[in-house]
Order: sequence, then structure tokens, then C-alpha cells
Amino acid sequence: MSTPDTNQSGDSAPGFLDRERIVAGPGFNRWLVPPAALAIHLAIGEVYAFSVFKIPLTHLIGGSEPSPADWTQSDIAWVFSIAIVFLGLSAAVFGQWLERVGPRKAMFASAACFGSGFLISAVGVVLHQIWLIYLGYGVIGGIGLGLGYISPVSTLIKWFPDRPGMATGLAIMGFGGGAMIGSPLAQLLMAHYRTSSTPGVAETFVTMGVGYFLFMMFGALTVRVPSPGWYPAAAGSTERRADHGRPSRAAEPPGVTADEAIKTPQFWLLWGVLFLNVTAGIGVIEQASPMIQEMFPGRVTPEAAAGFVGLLSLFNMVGRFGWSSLSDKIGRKTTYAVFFLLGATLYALTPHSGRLDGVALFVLGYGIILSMYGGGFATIPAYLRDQFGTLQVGAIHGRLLTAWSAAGVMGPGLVNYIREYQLEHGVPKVEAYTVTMYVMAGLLVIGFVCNLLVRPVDRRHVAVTPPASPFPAGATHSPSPI
Amino acid sequence: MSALPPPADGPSQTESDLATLLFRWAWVMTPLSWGVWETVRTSLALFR
Repeated sequence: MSTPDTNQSGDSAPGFLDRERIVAGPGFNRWLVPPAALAIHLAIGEVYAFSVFKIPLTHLIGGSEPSPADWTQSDIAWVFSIAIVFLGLSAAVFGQWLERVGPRKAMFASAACFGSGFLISAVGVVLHQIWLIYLGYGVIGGIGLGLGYISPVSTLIKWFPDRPGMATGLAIMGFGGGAMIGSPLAQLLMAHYRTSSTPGVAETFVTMGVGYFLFMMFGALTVRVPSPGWYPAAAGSTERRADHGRPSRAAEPPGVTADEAIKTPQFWLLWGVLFLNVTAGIGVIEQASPMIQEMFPGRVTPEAAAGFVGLLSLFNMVGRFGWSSLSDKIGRKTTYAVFFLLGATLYALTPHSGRLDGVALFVLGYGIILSMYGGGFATIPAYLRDQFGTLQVGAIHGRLLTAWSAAGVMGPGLVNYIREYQLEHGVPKVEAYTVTMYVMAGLLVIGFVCNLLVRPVDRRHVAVTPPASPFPAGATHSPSPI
Repeated sequence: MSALPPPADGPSQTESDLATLLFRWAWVMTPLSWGVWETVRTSLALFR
């Protein structure tokens, strides 16, 4: 019978990219693996910084005076949307392939797609063909995003079965941090390549394409997978957690395949949990800069609003690691209950900070909301692992990420639609977000109910039941204590 | 000769070295720290 750990190539020697070539030997230090995961996520997180190319891409022909032949901002906005849609689709489609071939091949494919996406886009800039940018950065780069997003998560969750929340938080934190690197890097490069006749976008795309490919290859070359049946011997802490009824070595979750997982109500409840958490947060991210300026007219300048957006990215990134690590201690269900209840409360209260003229209060409130937005992304793989085991967790995670694609359309659409409706009906700008906040709070209450309904998966869906205690403490497969 | 040689492309003993560990973490944390610093620097405008 074929399993994800079986050599699919039969008796032939495994290729350089194959899973069999990267199985860690005895005594391997598992803390060597997270940098490989971070290298991938820090690179692909650049997608969040794509907006820095928006203005330069609309001035390619006219220069400082935009020409009618130049692309519009709406044309450019499609690039990001296509990339996110293909992220979700490729994660869903290629998830099982990843589980079969292993993370090195998937990371290499991700690096090749993401890097070549930049190069194709550079050609599109030189030839002034927008479809080449849609194809390059959007479709091919988007496929690279999807592959790159799920590969490190699936790998780390297997290396840290005793701390799956921390492990996935570590990887997904990189995706949040990627924007913080990509944005100033792109600005630096464009400033370097800019001339009187060109904004330097094509040259920047080429440099970033090659640079990110090499950076991601560091991850592909250094990633390792644990040998089949491996479990960390230093499981004292997990055994303590077992006393509180949370996931532990003794209660290692059973294996459910991706095809079987989508037949369970748990998968769709968690799909709803992610969808509602992301919908509530993503609309705010998209509208953050104009929102703070309109809620505090005359007090917050465009420059300060840009600072607010940066600060939200920081909260988003820190929340990814912080909340998911905390979920190892308090449990996944409790963590999401906190997200939904605290988030709904903060959404309901923040309109009052506008009336109180409290900028610091507003920033703090949204900072916490965005930390929970990031925390939701980072904790969901561990929640999936608790429910479905690690057998095909990458593939299941990939399918669940379609919730992100759906929320990416729903969230900003909802915020913008409600705001415009309010303004058309004579509501002053400073009050235009109040109803939006209450709607977001309502969505989070629905998310709270979805989370409450999650129960352990019925045993009839289980494909593989792992042994409760694969290795005695101190076995040779244990990681070093660092 | 070791009784348990590492796989052909598997990790060698040196991979457990502290230097290797530090190098790999520095490879990713250096650009991340720079990005965080740039973000904090621009965010300060909010409180000026």
C-alpha cells in the first residue's frame, strides 16, 4: 500500500529533490528546520507589499505626467487579487502532491514559480503588456505562493508534534514579516534603478525574482523531514498537558486523509472559523489608511496613516507567533473563542474611540484585532492537526485555504460597500465605519458559534491510527536538547 | 567508521553544531529584523 512516506519511484535511487533524500538521521536537531520554513514564508510574504508597485506601474509611459496609455490603478489591483486566488487554488490542488513528494520538491517548485513570476512580470513591464504581469506575478507567482505557504507548515507540524501551535506560528509569522522586508526592499531597489525615463520597476522585478529564488533555495536545500514514526523524546511537557485533556503524545490524533476530511462537519466548521476571522480582519487591513484619517480628521496625516498600516503589520506578525504558541497551552478551541469574543467586543467599542478622539486607544484596539487576525491564520493548521492528525495535514490545510480566497473578496467588499452606502445616506465620514464595525462584530459572533460546534472527528473517517508511544524516552530518534 | 552512517544527502554531525544553528537562524532573522526596524521607524510618524 502506498503511504506518503513510501518511495514512489520503486527501487530506483531517489532524486535530489525527493523526500527520501531529506529524511533526518538519528540525533538530528529539529531546531535546524524552522529557518528553512521561515526562508520560504519571508520570501512569499512579499505579496502583501505589492501595493508599493501600484503608483510606479501606472507611470511607465507618461513618466511624471501619466499618459492615457498608462495602466490604471484598477488594472494593477487585479494582480494582487489573481495572486491570492491562485494561492488558495494551488494550495488546495497541490496539497496531496506535496504530501507525496515531500517539502524539498514543493519548496523548489515554489521558488521556481515565485522567482519566474517576477521575471515574466519584468518582461510585461518592458513590453507594457498587462496580461504578462497577470500571468507572471498573478498566476505563476500565485501558484508559487500556494506551494510555498503549505510546504513549511506541513513540515514543521511533523517536527513539533508536542508544540504544533508554536511550530505553525513560527512559519506563518514569516508570511506576515515578508511584507515588512518586501516593501522597503522594493522601494530601495526602485530608487537605485530609477532614471529620468524609467521608474526602475522592470529591473527591480528581475533583482527580486533572482534574489527571492536564491533565498528560497536556502529553505529547499536545508529542509529535512523526520523519519516515519519519529516522535520527540523530550515529551515531559506534553504528558503534563495530557492531564488537562489537551493534545498530547498519548493522545496523538488519528490520521484522516484529505479526501475524507472534507466529508466531515469539522472541516467545514473550521472553514467557517477561518473565513469569518479573516473576513473581519482583511477588510480593515485594506481600508486602514483612509479609515484612520477619516475617523480622526486633521489629527492623522497620510504619513502617520502609513505608520498605522506598518504598525498593524507588526501586530499581525507578532500575533501569528504569540497566539499560536499560546494555543499549545490553552487549547485551540479556547484560543479561537478568545479571538471571536475579544474581537467582537473590540469591534463594537472602537467606533467610540473616534468620538472620544482617542488615537492611541484606536491604534491599540486595532492592533489587538490584527494580532488575532494573524493568530487565526497561524493557529488553524494546529487545529487541523488536532482534528485530522498529521497524515495529510498539508493537503487538508491547502483545501481550507480556499476560505482565505473567499474572505479576500468578501471582507474588503463588505467594508467598502457599507461605507459607501452610509456616505450616500448622509452619514458623516467620521461615523461612516460605525455600522461596519458592528457587522464585523456580528460575523465574529457567528464564528464563535462555529468554533463552539467543533467536536472530535468520528472514528469512521480515520485512515491511520498512530501508535500512542512510538519511542521510549531517550530513543535515538530524539532531537538534541537545544 | 560510524556504525550508523548518515543518508547520502542526509545531515552530517556538523549540522548539529551550534555554528550551523546560529548561521541558519541569522540567515532569516537578519532580513526580518531589518524589515521590523524599517516598519517601526515609519510607524513613529503616527505619534509625532
